[in-house]
Amino acid sequence: MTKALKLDARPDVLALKRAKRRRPGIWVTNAIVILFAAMALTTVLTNPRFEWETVGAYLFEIRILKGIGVSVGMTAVTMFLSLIFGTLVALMRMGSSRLMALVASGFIWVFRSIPMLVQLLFWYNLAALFPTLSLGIPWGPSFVTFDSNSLLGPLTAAVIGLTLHETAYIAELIRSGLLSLPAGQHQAAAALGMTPAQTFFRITAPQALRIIVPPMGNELISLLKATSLVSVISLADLLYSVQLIYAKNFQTVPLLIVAAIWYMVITGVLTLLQQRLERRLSRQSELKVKKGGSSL
Amino acid sequence: MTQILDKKQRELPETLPVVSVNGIKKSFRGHDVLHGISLDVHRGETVCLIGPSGSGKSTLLRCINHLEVPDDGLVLVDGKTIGYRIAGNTLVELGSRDLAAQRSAMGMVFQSFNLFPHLTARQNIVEAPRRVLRLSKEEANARAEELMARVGIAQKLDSYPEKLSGGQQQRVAIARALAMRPKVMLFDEPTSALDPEMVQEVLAVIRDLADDGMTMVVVTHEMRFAMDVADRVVFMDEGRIVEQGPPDQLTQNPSHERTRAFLSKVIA
Repeated sequence: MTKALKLDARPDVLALKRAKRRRPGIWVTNAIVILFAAMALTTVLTNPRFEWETVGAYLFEIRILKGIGVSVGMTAVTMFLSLIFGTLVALMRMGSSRLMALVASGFIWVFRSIPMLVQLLFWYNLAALFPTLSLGIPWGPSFVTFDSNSLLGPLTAAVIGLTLHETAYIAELIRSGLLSLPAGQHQAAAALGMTPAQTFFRITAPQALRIIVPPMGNELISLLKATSLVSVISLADLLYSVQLIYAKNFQTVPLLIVAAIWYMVITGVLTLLQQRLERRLSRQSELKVKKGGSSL
Repeated sequence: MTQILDKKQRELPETLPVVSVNGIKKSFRGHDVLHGISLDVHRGETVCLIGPSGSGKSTLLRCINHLEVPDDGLVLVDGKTIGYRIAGNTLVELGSRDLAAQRSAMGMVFQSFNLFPHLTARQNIVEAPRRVLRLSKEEANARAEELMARVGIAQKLDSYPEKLSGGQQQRVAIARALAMRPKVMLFDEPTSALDPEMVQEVLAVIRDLADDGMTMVVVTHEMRFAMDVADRVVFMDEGRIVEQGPPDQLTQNPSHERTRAFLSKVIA
């Protein structure tokens, strides 16, 4: 039985030392995790079939580096275009024209539902559907005519496919960011006499941006990996460059490891950039307050 | 109506009320909120709208600056038909740009402040003067500084809204609206979202504006404030103006049973 403390014993209670509570469960789970990690590491390092020398030999090979350039370049161009088109589609979907909203919804439905791989193959084979593409008056004369095959090379097909797919996703992301803002923000801006465009650029877009940076980072990383799908239309991205090499020397696993390492490195860099951006956006307020305070 | 729209009359602002609400009707999903309200507010007048919740006070206020579009009737502010332009004998709906220009002449203060959280108090205040009135940076900043001093929180000029108390936020919101030098100020229950100890600091600012001769329409539940500050109190119930008059007349000698019943409930 615990002794009941008397009121006059209270000063002594305050003088007692404190000890952290014991957590044996955490020690056990930590030990198990460390054990498994060590096992995995040993296997990876000691199994000769990983061929780490081959991995090292190809890691900075020129064809690999060119492939990285193609993958990163495609990701950047696609992301840039998708941000612009995605914003437009999101605004169309939220705007006052019902036809525009319907068109935007239809666009999002179509390009979110067709798998990226199917889209890439489709755009690559567009020449089968339209052998020539021409610029002119609808149903009237045309001024210039192109051969679809020469116009839609694998790179163009890849960028079109990736951009359409990504635009649909980013439009939904931007829309959700804008919808999450309280209606009072629009009303306050409107009451001050700001036009819809001013309200968007100065009030709602900057606020929505903060909300959508984390999911947008996710989207960018998914996109980077999605670019590996372009290997099916024989575009020499990182994965296809690796495939070309192991098709000749049969070092399949080591070369796939090379690709995996590079995807991890790029994703790591993107994650760091995302974290810095998030921190900057959230700390912006405090920093500005400090600056403003010192000038007073 | 045609008389009000007569061109000659529009050129004589002295004879016209600053705000003229004419037969405004509004319904939401088949439920009538306003049944044809008419109300004039004259230069320098402070009109308080009182009445039970759901009586249509806030909707009426929001119809004045076209945040709510009336189903019928017309609002004139300083002789301008709000939300419409006159072409021959037709009222043509205004584009967003022209409507924005009309709204810039009316200040509005919301129950929930609605400050822009990504901007400091100063930036909140200078945004519309800079973008809408195209003031220079110096001029807009001077207005912000002057107005923040006027509402008594000059030291909070570079603070973000999240660092301010409710009362301070609402005072920034008032300063933001005043920075546009509006012809009329519309207050939509400006103290309803505040902790009790902050109500007075906001009411003091509004009272100061009234003393300064600002034309104001105030929707409020603060009966003592309404009786104290208003030149005219308008009692609304179920989408209609039941009665209106100077505060003393309304409190001491209400002519309607509904007014009497409402006032006896809210004035302890």
